[in-house]
Amino acid sequence: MSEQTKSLKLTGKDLINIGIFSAIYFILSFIGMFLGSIPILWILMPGVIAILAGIPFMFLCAKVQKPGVPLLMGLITGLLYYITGQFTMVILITFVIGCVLSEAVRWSTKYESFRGNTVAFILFSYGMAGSPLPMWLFKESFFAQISEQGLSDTFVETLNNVATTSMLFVLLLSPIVGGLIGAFIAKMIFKKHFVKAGMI
Amino acid sequence: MNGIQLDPRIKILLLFVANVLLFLDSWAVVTYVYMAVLAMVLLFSGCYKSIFVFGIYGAILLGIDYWIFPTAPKALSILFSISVNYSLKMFPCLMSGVLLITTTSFHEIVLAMRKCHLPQKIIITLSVTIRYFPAIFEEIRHIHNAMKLRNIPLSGKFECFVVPFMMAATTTAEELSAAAITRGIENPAKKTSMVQLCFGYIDYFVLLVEAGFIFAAFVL
Repeated sequence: MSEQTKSLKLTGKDLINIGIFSAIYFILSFIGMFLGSIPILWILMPGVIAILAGIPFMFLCAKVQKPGVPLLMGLITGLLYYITGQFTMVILITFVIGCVLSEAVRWSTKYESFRGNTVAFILFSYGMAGSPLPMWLFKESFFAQISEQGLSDTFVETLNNVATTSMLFVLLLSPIVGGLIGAFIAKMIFKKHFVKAGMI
Repeated sequence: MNGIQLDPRIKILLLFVANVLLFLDSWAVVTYVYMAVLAMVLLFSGCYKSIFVFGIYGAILLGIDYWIFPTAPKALSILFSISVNYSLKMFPCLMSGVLLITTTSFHEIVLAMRKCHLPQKIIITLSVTIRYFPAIFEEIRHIHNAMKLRNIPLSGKFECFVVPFMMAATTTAEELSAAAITRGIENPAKKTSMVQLCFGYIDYFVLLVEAGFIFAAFVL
């Protein structure tokens, strides 16, 4: 990249890149969400999605070294989740927090460093932690609500057994572990292929 | 498509209200009435086939929920109850989504977003994302075929899939941006359009009905 193109404003090309990789990210996180219909995997969901989506996110971060990438990506995936009716208030809050923090980390590491992007990715992955979080935040009303919605008693019971304090730590740790694994896979693939091909 | 044509903004609003009903987890009757309204709109817009499909699908889901789950083995109902319930709850969203997609051209949707004064950055990104979904599946099919042809062992499958997939995504991005820049995507001036959007009587009527549903969702 020459100095001239180093402006920090997003160009049309950057926006198209973000759009395409957001589509990939959305599909991958949707797979993670679908796996989440098994109770145990629901708690690990942020981590599972992080493992799956490490490559596209890190690739996009390496390609578009400008502010606004996690924010726009979060906005697009959030909007698509909203349209498909998967959104709850808690997810909205965690999504916003995750995206803003991720943006801040990228800003402070000058958008270039792989480590900075990894941390940003981990924070971004926390956005999905809002999906199972109501189980702990408002335990009573949550379980009352889902059994009222007509989910079978056995399902609710299984969830109730899973919602312990130690599992909360598992939930909060899973984006870190998943993010590190995802970033590690991304790094290996980058090193082996994309750097040589001059794509990054 | 024959039948009446609603304004794209109204169709987006229909989808939005469906989501609000889901979001607020409103009283089931409101949702059912809303589904009936959507079915009417689909009927008047001439989407007979989708009404038929939705009718059958909905009947199957309700049947599973009421008759099969109480008698099925425990493990099976744990696995599937969440997906069946989700699908039932998402029915209004699906119906309004189908209405939006089948009766509106993509250009009109972009125009509607522009008329709602969404920032240009979001419109571009969102339209690329939505347009890229079909390409993803096509890409996956191509890579799958190529791997079959070359007899890639299972251990190499992941790498042999990811690398061309990401390459294809980058190439598409390059090509698309070259085309878009030529067509003036970065021109800051206000864009003009051949199609003009404006509300008719029916649009105002549907708008009123929508307002009624929002009111009902918050009050009941």
